[in-house]
Amino acid sequence: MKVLGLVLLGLLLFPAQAGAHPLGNFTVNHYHGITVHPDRVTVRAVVDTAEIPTVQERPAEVVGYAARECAALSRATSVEVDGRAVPVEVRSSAVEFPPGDAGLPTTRLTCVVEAGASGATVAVRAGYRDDRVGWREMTAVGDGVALLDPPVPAVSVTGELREYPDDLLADPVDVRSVVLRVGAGSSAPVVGTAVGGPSWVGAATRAFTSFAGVRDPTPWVGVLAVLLSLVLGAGHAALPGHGKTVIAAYLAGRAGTPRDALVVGAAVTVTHTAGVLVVGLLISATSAVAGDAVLRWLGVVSGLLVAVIGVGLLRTSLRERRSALVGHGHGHGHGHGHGHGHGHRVGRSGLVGMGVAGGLVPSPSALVVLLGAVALGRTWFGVLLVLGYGLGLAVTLTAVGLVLVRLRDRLAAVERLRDRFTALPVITAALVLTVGLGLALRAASGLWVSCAL
Amino acid sequence: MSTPLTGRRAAKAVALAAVGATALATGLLGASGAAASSHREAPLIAGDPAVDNTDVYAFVSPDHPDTVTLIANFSPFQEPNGGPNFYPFATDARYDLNVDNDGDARADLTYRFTFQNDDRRGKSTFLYNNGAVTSLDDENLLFRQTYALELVDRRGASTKLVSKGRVAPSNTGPKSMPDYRALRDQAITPIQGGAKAYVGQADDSFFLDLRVFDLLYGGDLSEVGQDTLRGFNANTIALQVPKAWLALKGDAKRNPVIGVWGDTERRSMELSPGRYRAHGDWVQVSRLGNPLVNEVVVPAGLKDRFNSLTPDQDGRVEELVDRVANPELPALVEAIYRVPAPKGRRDDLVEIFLTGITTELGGPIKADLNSQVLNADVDEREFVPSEQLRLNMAVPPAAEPNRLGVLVKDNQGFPNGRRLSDDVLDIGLQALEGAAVNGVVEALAAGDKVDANENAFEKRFPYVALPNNTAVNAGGTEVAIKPTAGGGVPTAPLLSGLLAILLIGAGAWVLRHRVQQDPPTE
Amino acid sequence: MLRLVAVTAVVGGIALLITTVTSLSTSDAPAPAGAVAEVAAHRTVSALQDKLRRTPSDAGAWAALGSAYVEQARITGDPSYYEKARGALDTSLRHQPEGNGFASIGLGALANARHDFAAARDHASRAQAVLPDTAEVYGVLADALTQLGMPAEATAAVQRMLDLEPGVPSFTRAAYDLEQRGDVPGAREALERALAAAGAAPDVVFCRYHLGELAFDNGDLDEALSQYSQGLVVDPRDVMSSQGKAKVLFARGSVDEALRLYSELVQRAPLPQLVHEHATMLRAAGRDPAPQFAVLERQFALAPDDLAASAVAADRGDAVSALRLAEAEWGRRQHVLVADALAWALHLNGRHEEALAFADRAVSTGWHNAGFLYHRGMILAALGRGDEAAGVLDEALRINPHFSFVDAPRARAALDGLR
Repeated sequence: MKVLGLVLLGLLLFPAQAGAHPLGNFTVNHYHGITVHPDRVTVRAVVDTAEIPTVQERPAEVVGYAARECAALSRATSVEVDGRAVPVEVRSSAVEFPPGDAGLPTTRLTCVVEAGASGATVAVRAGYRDDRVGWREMTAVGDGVALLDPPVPAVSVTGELREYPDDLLADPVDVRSVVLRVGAGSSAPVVGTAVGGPSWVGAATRAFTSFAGVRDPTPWVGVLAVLLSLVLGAGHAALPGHGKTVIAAYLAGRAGTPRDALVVGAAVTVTHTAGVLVVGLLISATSAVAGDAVLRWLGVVSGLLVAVIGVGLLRTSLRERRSALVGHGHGHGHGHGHGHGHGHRVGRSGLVGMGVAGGLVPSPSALVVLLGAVALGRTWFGVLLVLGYGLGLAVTLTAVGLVLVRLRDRLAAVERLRDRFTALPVITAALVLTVGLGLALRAASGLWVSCAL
Repeated sequence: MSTPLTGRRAAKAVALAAVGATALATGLLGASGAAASSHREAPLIAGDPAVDNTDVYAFVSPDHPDTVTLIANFSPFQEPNGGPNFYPFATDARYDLNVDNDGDARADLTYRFTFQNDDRRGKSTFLYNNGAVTSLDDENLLFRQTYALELVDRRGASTKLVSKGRVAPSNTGPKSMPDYRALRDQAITPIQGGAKAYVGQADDSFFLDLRVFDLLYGGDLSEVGQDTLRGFNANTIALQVPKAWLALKGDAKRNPVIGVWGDTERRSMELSPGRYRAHGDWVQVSRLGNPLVNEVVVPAGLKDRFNSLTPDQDGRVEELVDRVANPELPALVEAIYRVPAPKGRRDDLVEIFLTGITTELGGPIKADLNSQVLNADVDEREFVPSEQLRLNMAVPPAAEPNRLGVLVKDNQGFPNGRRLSDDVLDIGLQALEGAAVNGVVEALAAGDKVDANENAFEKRFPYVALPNNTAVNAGGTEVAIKPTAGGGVPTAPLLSGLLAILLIGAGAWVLRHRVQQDPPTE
Repeated sequence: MLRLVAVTAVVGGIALLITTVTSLSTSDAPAPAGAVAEVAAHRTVSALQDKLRRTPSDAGAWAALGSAYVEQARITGDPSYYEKARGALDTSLRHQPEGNGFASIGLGALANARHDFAAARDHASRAQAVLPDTAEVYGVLADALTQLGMPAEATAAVQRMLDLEPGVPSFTRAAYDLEQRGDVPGAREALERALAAAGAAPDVVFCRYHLGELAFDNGDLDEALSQYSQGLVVDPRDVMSSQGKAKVLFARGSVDEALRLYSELVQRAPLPQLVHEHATMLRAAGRDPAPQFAVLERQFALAPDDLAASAVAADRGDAVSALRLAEAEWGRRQHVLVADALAWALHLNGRHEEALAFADRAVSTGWHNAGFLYHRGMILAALGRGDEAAGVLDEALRINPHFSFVDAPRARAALDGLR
């Protein structure tokens, strides 16, 4: 009976009732603490066995006991990643025999088991001694990935089966399986410790995502959250990705203007914000939409869009190169005048397309914020934060674009060189095409989407 | 077991713990698992939903105004589509619809339904059906029930009206019963003389937010508005008979008022050594006339007693009469909401619940509506106050029934009988606050904010809605467990819709303007 | 340019609208069967829990929740519900210390579950004063009085319960009452009435198991197996139905299969009764029951049960402990099962005269209990009353030739010796 702290309480209150119910001493209680990593799933399992089953199964040799039981536990634990069963292996095993009632020992088995894969959905089912009466608890956290709206808590309410809560208005916990949605863990830069990002970005991102969950946001907290979302969007755009390479090449290769840079920035912001809102609300509105599939498809579209722009660029630059060779050299029209008809000018649709491609794949952290806010019934707050995030993105991208344009304008020599070296636009166009195709292919193969864009 | 404030339905929900525990028991210890052999841990609060009469309705049939329809519901909280679960009527019970047309608180007419099983499952399965069921005779239907209907007069003489009526089955889901309406239609049984009967499953026609009482007491009514019974089914007995059958001396013109109540009885057992009988006397286990009597009138400790009382005994139970005349609820409402409780002895409530509304007995309500003393051939000296649902059959069906019934001058509605669409919770609350004398109390006008049933009632017999056949999801009591943010409005879909409209609108606007100002150059 | 964005917006908007609308219309799709069952399972308990979160001082709801928890513990076998029940019932009493009949009912049920029958009777009496017309009061009272050895008073309580609310709780209690008075057909009828009235699976399984037990105890293996099996159709994991099946298997000679089933059962649910039966069965099959007895020893150390412990001590040949434990239990309650245990313990200690008095008392209610008769027969034989002994032993074996894995063969041997 000692395994149930609340029973102890009962005994304290009613010492005369020392004869506890005979059922109390034979529970087998389970705790499974799941940690999802980018590349694997670990489960820390604790099995707290009461006095009677401890007597029944008294290990002849304590030495091999933990390893043997943990092996059985790992066999009985099923982990499915994206619908595929992944073998579970024991990483460590330990057992102790804390004293229980009447001087009898109880058993406390601790196993760490691991499945060597991770993905967009992770399903864990605990089947070890599932026919025994007892408490069954699961927790889940992501390490290097975000768990979207996990159905189980992050922290054990029993301190891993050491103290059982005595909430009179709650049933004993009986959770035997869980399905976790992982926040685009394999298909995009990761929330939290963003891949390759400075650690402050990770910390700020965590703060950002936690804002959506603030119980009662005061106006100040709200303002702070929006400001932070701006900073984060800006920081996120500074990380590799978001078509900066392509945009830079594009603006450098073509005769971009500050206004063009603004257009690209605006397009990225609008697309990104709309994308996050649409995908987020889709996911929250219908379970039929799997977030990671949507992201993957968006990745494909984004890549193809870039590729199409690359084709367009290639065509015009080849044509121009021919005309340039004929001697029809032309200055870089500084982006004014409608209906110029000349290919030198950066095409507005190309620019918008570029921005759309850059913003099409929603940032997972913004997505998490929105989903969290929706789940908490504060959708509008989430939308506000996402808007701020998109604005931040735009600021960085526009700034990058402007800097590039300025730099290029200053380097007249480069410009002259470029006018003479007419192959440069062709090369940049080819580069854009290649990157676009590569992105589309990678997204299609479901491996990697936006990191290098 | 009953609880003071939730009354009958919640109390029987307690009983349902055992019903629902099916799945829970699986994989764990098992039902009969108990400690030592000497002490058998037998069920204690197993409950008896099969004979639990939850609601009674009585109204002039809107499509056949020369008839009256009586409806009684049993066995609440039936989970549709609940796999192997089904909900038969009890075979060792009597299901009675009683009519008192002379006001002496004794049944002058009792329409008595009794049931027989036709169990074709054998010993190896407990499944209800074995494939799709398209008619009541479908061989896939493995468990069937039939009923006998007899009319018992006040001297106990009985006439058989139906000898083998067919019970419409429990709806076990759209795959098993693709067309439940067809099954229901087959189960409507004509009775010679222009009457008909339906027995079978239906959507639970009661609509209310059961939590209203807690919330009322808790001082926060803002949360109400969830139909606790949404999505659940019940067993229904419906009977439509010519008015003349029910009226005193067969004359509905001179004697238009009847009192109605339902009851169920089960046979006891005689244990005395040497005098053992497996089937002893009949015991009344459930009784119902007016809605909500258990919730707002009968004190907690008296509920079990009340269920065993026959109406003629009501007047002798002082506690009961006292509680009607001095109800607890208005005082509490006054304390919390500053809505002044009506002063003094509540003779208006005595009229509504115990005598019927009439000026002839000296009550405060200035109307002559539905007391048996209004019948021309009733001797007022023989009148005995008792709790019944009283109906004046002379009030014609309302063209536009109002959910608040008599309170808003729609005299065909509760408390003159009870129609399916009457919002009895709101009416009852208002009545307790004295509305029958002083008019509607605005502060509580919203009531439980559940104003209609989730499924529309039918226009023809048996009027109740078809049984639900999808599992109860967010609409049922689970909502009570996990209150949704935003007062139950589905925020995400709403926002998605708004966003969609915004996107389309903005896109279209831009397109139009660009077309106008800047025709494409290509 | 902008047009592209505009077109994208329109298309996206339409797509969003469509998915939103479909998501709304599909939200009524049936939930998975498991979820439905689970929701149903906790409806009552959760409804009360939820209510109490809104109105935490509702003494009646606390009492109802406490009783519902006791019922959950019985049904699920999860002991933590007992502690929750106690907490809920105490809370109820705190909010309404006087005249709280429903809390007394719950506390009585809890005391019965803990085999504290005297306390259960007191709780029931308190409840009766407030709720004289509530059937559950008499259920608690009947259980307590039966176990305390007051059969006439218990019968009256069951009769009152029957007359208030004929149904599964009162019919099952009537069945036990009739069985103890030797009315086997009456007990069967009562259980059949309970079965007919039972709607919930656990109640159906309970009735089937006890119909099976009644058949088994009266020697009808076919009927017993049929009832246990039908219980297992409803709940394939039911421990007691499997126990019944294992007993029939053993009686029919499928010793290995029966033992396998028992060892699985005691792993799943190490109830003292099952462990003891497993030990007896192992011994009857010529195997070593020592590990099972070791488990029982720990069990009684944790949760004393003098009646069961006395029987175990007697089986292990520890006559002194058997007598001490039986006497201790007799001091608390005078049920015929205790009288039987005390008689047998006295007999094992050579005090046959005294033993016979208690053996007579054990059979005084008329219970057709082969075990009682075996003990009585052996005591008579020890007293040299061979003819009477033979008659009694013969009757025991006629009632149920398989009444005990170990004692039935002994009864047969003793009978042969006497003839």
